[in-house]
This record gives sequence, structure tokens and C-alpha cells, in this order.
Amino acid sequence: MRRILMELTDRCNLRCRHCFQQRHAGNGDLPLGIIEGVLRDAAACSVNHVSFTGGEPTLHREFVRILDLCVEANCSFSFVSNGSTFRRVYRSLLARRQWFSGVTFSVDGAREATHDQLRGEGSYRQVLRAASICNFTGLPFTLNMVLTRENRMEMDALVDLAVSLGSGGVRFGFLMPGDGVDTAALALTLSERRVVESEVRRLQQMAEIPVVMAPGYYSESPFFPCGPLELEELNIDWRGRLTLCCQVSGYWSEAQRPDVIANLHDMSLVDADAMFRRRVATYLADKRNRLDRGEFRDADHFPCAYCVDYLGTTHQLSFYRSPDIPGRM
Amino acid sequence: MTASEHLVQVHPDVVDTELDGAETVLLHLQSKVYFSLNATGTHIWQELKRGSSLAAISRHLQETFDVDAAHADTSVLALMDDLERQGLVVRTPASGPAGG
Repeated sequence: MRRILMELTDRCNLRCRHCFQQRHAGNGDLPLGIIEGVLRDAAACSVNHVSFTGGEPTLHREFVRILDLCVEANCSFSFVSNGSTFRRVYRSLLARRQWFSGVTFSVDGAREATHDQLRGEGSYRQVLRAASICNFTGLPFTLNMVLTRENRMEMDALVDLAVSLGSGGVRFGFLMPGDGVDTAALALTLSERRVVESEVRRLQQMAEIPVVMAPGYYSESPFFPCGPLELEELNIDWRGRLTLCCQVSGYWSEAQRPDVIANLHDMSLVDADAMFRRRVATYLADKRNRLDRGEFRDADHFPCAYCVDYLGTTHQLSFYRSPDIPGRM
Repeated sequence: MTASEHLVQVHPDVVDTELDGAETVLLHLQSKVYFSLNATGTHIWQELKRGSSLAAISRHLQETFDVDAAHADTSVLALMDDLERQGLVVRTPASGPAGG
């Protein structure tokens, strides 16, 4: 079966230094009509799970109604959250417990000072309050850390924190460069990423709970494991468009957006999915051609770097190419 | 109420989360251990956070839950002992009366 990643809103109540600037001024929610249509077609597209992202997805004005739409569509659901609104929504999750597979809380430091430095003062205690509620009520949760120069030394401590809090696991991911992201100060170089990845592998061996890496890590194989490219995952942005993936969603300015595949305001999910399948087939054929031409470079083994390069050349590409700034090999 | 001679304050490293006004989950940021308080404990905790003295909290319990003074005093002092043992509150001697 397949899953949908649904960006419910680009609004957020935090101003994280490692997030895209447009989110800081976000004011849009995914229209309820689009969500209804998508969930109506979910079964026809072999989708049985929806994962809500954002922005802060719980800020969507119809969040509880959307949970009910998932239930009506026979889809389980999960979401990512900064935890700040959790006290307001947890009862809705308890009432739909059978369909709720878990929440991933963003915790970007094992220490309060580190987390708050990245996500804003008071946000560490907010997210730990949310974890407390989950622990007390039995709602499943995991933690996610975006790895930066400021928190990379706290990976072990984050796993310890997760175990203590009762988290079901930890996921580490890399910062995506983009407008408004404090890339120079925060991003790890590609070679630093390799070191950090070996740390994650060590933690995977030692930890009492599952430790995973989000897509974007170095892959020996040019055909790395990737939900969208394996046709397991459909990504819908808050404007109601089917896009190639969530990792690069928000990377480009609206005028560019080479990752957009179909507009769900104009067509059904079934028709958009057919376009998506064709786009992925083209993507994979192009990659095979690039390999055959001997043009696959070392940086291309980082999936997000490859996609950013493949989908469109922008000034931000320099993050992966320039020898003078973080991101170089 | 001998404990009323002390000031008791919530430890700054404690994150508290009230659930439906009936229960409270406490998490100590250093030990990373959870604790839970029932409705009475939640009531006492909220009064503590307001800066109430133990004597005032006891009086409040008597009024709210219709219990006698001895029962209320015992409840407050017992909870304070528990909270202090777990490092969830800090107790400091109250300063004496001014002058003299």
C-alpha cells in the first residue's frame, strides 16, 4: 500500500532558524475541498495512510475534521509537530486512537539551550509537555532532529532523552538549504554529513529504540531508497499540488518550483497519480542516461543534492558545489 | 503546621503539564523522569506555582475539598516531602519578621 504526505498548511507558530523563510510568513491552508477529493480517491490509488506535515499541521483550521475524513476514507494517519498545540489536539487523537499511528515531535537539541537557540525560547518545554501527554495517555510518538553544526554533538544525548521520554524511536535528518535558512552557520558540509551518518549507524547498533535517517543521506547506489521514486509516497503541498517529494518542497521560490507535477484544483488524484508515475519513470530514465554518460558525481550520491541539481539550477545549488561554504565535499 | 515556616518553590527544571484540570504530569529535565499528580496533588501544585505558603495551601484544600485542618495539613506536608525527595520542589527557610 502507499501513503500520502499532505502539507496541511504553510503557517507555523515558530520561527526556526533552519526552516524556509516563506514558512515564517505563511498564511495558507490546504483547502478542505482538495483534501476531501484526495481522500475520496485514496483507495483507488492504493493509499491507506496519510502523514500530515506543514508548517505546523495542527494549525490547520479544520484539523479535527480532516482526521475524521481520514477515518471515513479508511486511512490511518500520523503527523509531525513542534508540540506547541498538542494539549489542544490530543483528545481528538485519543478519540480516533485506532487510526492514529503516531506523532513525530521536532526536537533539535537534547539540551534546552540548544533546542531553543534553533527553535525559539520556550519551545523545548513545549515539546516536552507534548511528549509528557503522549507518555501519560499512551499515544505513540517519536522524535526528529534536524542535524546542524549546533546540535550534532548531542545525538547520543537525544537518543537517551528519547528513551527516557518513552519515544518509540528517533529520526535524524539533514538541513535543506533555502531562502531564509541560516545555511552558513548551521549546515554540515557533505563530508561532515558522512561522519554524522557513521554516528547514526553506531547509534542504530546501540540504541534500545529504532534510530533512522531521513532521506538525504549518502547512498552508494545511485538508485537510493526513496519513497516517491519507489512510487510508495505521494506528496501534496498546501497549495493543492502534487509534487515530487516533501524533502525539496519549499526549496525553490514559487516562480521556479520544478518539482510540481499536477494541480489538484484541476484534476483528480487518480489522474495526477498517472502523471506522477510518468514523471518518476522519466526521472529514472534520465538518471540511467546520466550514469551511462559517466556524469554521476560524488555529490550526486546525496539524494537531495542530486534532485536539486537534476530538477533545476538555482543560486542555491552553490550550497552543494562551492568549495567556500558548507555543503562542499 | 511546622512546614509553613518554609517557603516551597517549584524546581526550575520541572516541566509540568496539566491534563483536563484533574491530573498533572511532571517531568524533571535533569533526571528525565515522569511523575503524576492526582486531582488533589494538581490543586496543591497549582497553588505552589502561585507562590502560596503551605499554610495557605492547606486552608485552600480545606475550603475546596471540605476536609478538616489536620487532614489537609497532613496531605500538604506528605506531598511536599515526596516532591522534595524527587527534586521537584525546593524548600528554603522563610525569612523571619522584619525588625528586632
